[in-house]
Amino acid sequence: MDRRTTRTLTTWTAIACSIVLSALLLYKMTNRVEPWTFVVDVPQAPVRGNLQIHAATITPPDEKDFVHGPSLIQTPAGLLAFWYRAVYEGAANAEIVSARFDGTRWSPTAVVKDSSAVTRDIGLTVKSLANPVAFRRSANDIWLFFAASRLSGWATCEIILVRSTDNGQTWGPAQRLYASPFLNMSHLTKSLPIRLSGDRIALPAYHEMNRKYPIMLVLDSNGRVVDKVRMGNGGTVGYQPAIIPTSPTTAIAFVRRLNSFRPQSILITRTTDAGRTWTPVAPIDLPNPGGPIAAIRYDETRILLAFNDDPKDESNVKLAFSNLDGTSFRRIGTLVQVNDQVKGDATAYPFLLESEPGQFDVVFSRPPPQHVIDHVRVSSAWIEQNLERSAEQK
Amino acid sequence: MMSAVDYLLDRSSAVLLVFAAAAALSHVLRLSPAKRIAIGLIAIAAAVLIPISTRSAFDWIVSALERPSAPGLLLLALFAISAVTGRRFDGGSEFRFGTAMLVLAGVLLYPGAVGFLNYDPYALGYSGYVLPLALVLLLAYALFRRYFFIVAALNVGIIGFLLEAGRSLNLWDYVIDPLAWLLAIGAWITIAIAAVIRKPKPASSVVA
Repeated sequence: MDRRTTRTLTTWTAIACSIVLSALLLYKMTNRVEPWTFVVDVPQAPVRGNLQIHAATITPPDEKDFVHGPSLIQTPAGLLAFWYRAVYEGAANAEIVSARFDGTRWSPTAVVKDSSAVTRDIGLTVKSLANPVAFRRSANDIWLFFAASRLSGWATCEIILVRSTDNGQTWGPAQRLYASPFLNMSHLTKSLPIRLSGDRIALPAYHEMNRKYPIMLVLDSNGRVVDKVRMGNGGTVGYQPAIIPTSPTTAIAFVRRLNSFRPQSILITRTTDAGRTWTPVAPIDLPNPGGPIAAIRYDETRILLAFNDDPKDESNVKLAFSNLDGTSFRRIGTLVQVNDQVKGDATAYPFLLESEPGQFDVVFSRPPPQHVIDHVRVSSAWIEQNLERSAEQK
Repeated sequence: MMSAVDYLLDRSSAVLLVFAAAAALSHVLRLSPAKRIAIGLIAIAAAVLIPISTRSAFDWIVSALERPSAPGLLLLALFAISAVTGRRFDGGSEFRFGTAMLVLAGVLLYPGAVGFLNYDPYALGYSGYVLPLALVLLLAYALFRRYFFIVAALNVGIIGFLLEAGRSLNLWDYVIDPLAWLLAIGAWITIAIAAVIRKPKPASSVVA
């Protein structure tokens, strides 16, 4: 073959390949992400249970490390709590740990994954771990999402997924959620994932680098990111969203304010198109010291919130009801108050779960000097009684 | 678990970058190409062996760089070849067009994706026709100008995306990466400086 023939052949081969690949690319991209809607779970919330608060400390008494970012999931064997542990916040060689609650006592802690294991699994060196949040995928499957920093600082985090097929007894290898073109930075988890139609999941997350803002990652049934939505309509809008679907196409999200944001209130953003677009955030009539908010659907008409009822300090954890529009709020009662005798005590990062119908569990951390993860269990009877009391006091 | 292909691809940017940087530095000493290759390989070995904190320098570089896109891998390979042979590619129109497109794509993508803007163009890589149409136009122009290396790099990137070969399901990640963007910017800075230095001086006017 002479040079000219080779050149002509190369040209036509390149043209043919490019035409075929372009057609396939256009077809795939225009038919790729089929529209999703929210799957709305409305719990029954029967009024039952005892009127006392059950409180316990999950972490061992000799805990010396920094422990933070707790979350919960219900299993057939009881409650399973997760949190992260490191020498200090953001330190290398962090661990995601768990403990089980059989209804009376918490088990010793077990390590789910540490930085070395995640490094080994993903093939890239991971420095620290944070903010585990579990999602029930099926009767035996639990997916655990958490943030992993590759370099230094939370802004270098990406989200990692590990799976258990035996309700948290054992855990599979870590898998990266790929959601950013810039070295897959900078996303972190905090709040409960929610179900979408088509066996997909919406994972509330947030961007940390440069500007903090809430995002919603859409995951397919294999746990791969198939879409990403920036919440709050741009700008500097807060972070750590807790998304509550109120119908297949509507939802509200409670957003942690930035420290610089005024007023010092919880922020809210709404969607009417199943999360494709979100309204600009607006402050609501509940204070926020710059801490995360936990929210779950309570019944047909109400959302239950666990939050720090203080504009400046994480000095307590309270429960409150919101209506489904996020326009009306009623405080229920105080779950925990800081110990004034302990300098620097705080009740941070509340996480709320309805573990059984009419049974609600809240976990939160007490950062140094305490080194503690605490658990509080209340019943719907306690909630309704305290709601009546607060109405009477009003 | 991670496959061997993933493992190698994750490290390809770091290997090529360390190799090219060391070989280019040895070029200053006017060493032969064989010695430059040897110095590039020694640099990789040194990066693997030298610890920084609890991990090797190479591990830090791998963690900082991520895997390359198809055009990024091509650009890194060109830099490595240039560092060994001393051959310059920045005079070629295909190199200039390719790096210019990388610079432009990065300017469109990264500021929004890292939060500087209120809109995140990364979402265009999940679905829709905007990004694929832009790629088709780029391919058509590259074919028209017979820029076959660019055509090959884009086609390999598209094949990777269609087969969902990488971890990402976003088209952007198959056609650009941050290192390629930075190298393309560096290439254009070099081109601009060279143009300024070589700019012919205007003929001095004759004063009567």
